[in-house]
Amino acid sequence: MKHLQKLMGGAAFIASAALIPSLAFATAANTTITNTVTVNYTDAASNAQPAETASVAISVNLVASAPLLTSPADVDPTTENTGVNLVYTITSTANGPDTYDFSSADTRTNMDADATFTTPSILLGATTVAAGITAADTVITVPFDGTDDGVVNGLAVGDTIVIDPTGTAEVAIIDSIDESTGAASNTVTITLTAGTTNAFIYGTTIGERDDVTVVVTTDTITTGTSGTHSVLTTATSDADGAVFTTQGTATVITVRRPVLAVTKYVRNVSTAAFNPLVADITVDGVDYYASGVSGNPTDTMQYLIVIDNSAAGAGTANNIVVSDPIPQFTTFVASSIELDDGAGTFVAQDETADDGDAAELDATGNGTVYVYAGAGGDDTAVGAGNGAGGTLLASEISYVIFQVTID
Amino acid sequence: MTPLIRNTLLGLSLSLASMLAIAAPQISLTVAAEKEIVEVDDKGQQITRRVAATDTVPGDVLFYTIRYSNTGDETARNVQLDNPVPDATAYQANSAWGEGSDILFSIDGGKTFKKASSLTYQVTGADGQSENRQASPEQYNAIRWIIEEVAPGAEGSTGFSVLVQ
Repeated sequence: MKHLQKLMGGAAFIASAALIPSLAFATAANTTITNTVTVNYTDAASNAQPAETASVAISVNLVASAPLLTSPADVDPTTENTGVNLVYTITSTANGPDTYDFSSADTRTNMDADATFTTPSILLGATTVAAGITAADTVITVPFDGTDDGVVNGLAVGDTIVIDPTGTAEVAIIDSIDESTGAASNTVTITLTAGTTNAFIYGTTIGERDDVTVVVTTDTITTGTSGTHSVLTTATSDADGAVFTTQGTATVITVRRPVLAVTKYVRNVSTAAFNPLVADITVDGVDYYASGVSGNPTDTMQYLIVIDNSAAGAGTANNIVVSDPIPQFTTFVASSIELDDGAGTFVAQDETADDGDAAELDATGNGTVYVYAGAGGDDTAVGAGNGAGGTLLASEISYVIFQVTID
Repeated sequence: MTPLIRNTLLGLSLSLASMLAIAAPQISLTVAAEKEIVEVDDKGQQITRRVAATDTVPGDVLFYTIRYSNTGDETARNVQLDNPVPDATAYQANSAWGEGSDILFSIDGGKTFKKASSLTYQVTGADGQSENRQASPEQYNAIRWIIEEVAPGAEGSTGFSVLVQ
């Protein structure tokens, strides 16, 4: 097999020369190339003399190579001033261990400033195949890196590796590493958790693969409901700053913010004739009016508050708290508050403070109604007006109704 | 014979025997590795020169030079220098040299050596028939230089180059 390996190795290298700096086939970094010459000879009487040998050793250096880098999926939506985790999968294509530094750039649209980024680094191991791999092999042979420490050229037990990352790209997991043979044979073995699917020739690159998270912190939207950060992240070799890979497709992060429209309507419950003929809004089969409603003393009036998060491009609105002072010359009607949290159904609320629903009345003065509108609102915090506001997703509308009587 | 004469003759005899015993060839060897680097001179011209190689990268060509000398006091005969092509390298075609030597190559790990023109191997074709093919330089995995004799005090050198894979 030796001559075959040589032949394949030679042919393989011709291919690699065209691919550098993205190595497909090469000798691993830290490999020692030893050349040994032996002389045999005789004396004049044809008596064999003791053989003599001489050697010279050369170490193979790292050749930095552009790593493979994925492009994370777009993110939509997120909010202003929020950290977004973009997870990149990076795979070494070098012939030895190298550190890769991450940096990112932003092209923004309708945002006040560029996003900010974390700048992580990662050390990825790499080596090459030192003896051809046959399909289903579990044990593969790689060059010794000169140190018997259970880590060969940055590859350790548990690491995910990719054999021939720029070609067949077979993924495997390292189960164990045996470097005990390194000093004697100049090669060591890596045992995989499962046999390979494919065969690989001498010299094939084996690169470590790992995930790296870049945290992108969004800025504020300039106008309207949304803006975008278009992110391009680059992984650069520590060994050679001119060798890098930038993600192929930008990751677009869409930042949205809620733009709530709040509108208030009323109707005379006691005397329908005091309502205008044409309703401005009908909710749950009941008409309400923006103006033109009148009433007699003791008449019951019902107010409708519409909290609308359906503006185009709007994001989720959180912690929505509606506060509505009871109008002068009116008196709040007990147990009259009802809330539609966006689901389309009114649910009666008890205005008693801190009782576990989403509404409460502060009786100070003429009184103030607090409704924790949207979904998930909660009045259990001690005191009136300091409960937890509810949430309205994009395009959702929450309704609040309550009644008063005219003094 | 007086004891003095007897002892003197015995001493001369031992010295002669001793001189005869140490008359032998002794081949000493050194091997050096070099690589080429490209520099730019004051006039902006590129100059290629060889430097001792202690490290390398894939794609480098390494030039090995083997120097031998006979430091003994008798001619060394049938001198064979055997040099396996180092792992992780490929022999470069027509790179082996050595004045006054026959150069042979092996494609079986040094078991047999032949002249390059006679190095063939068998393959089985699609029709099931065996055929001989000429070995290509990349298949050479050992080199042998045969030097008929090296006189006492004489020296010489051989060499070859490889491509680091």
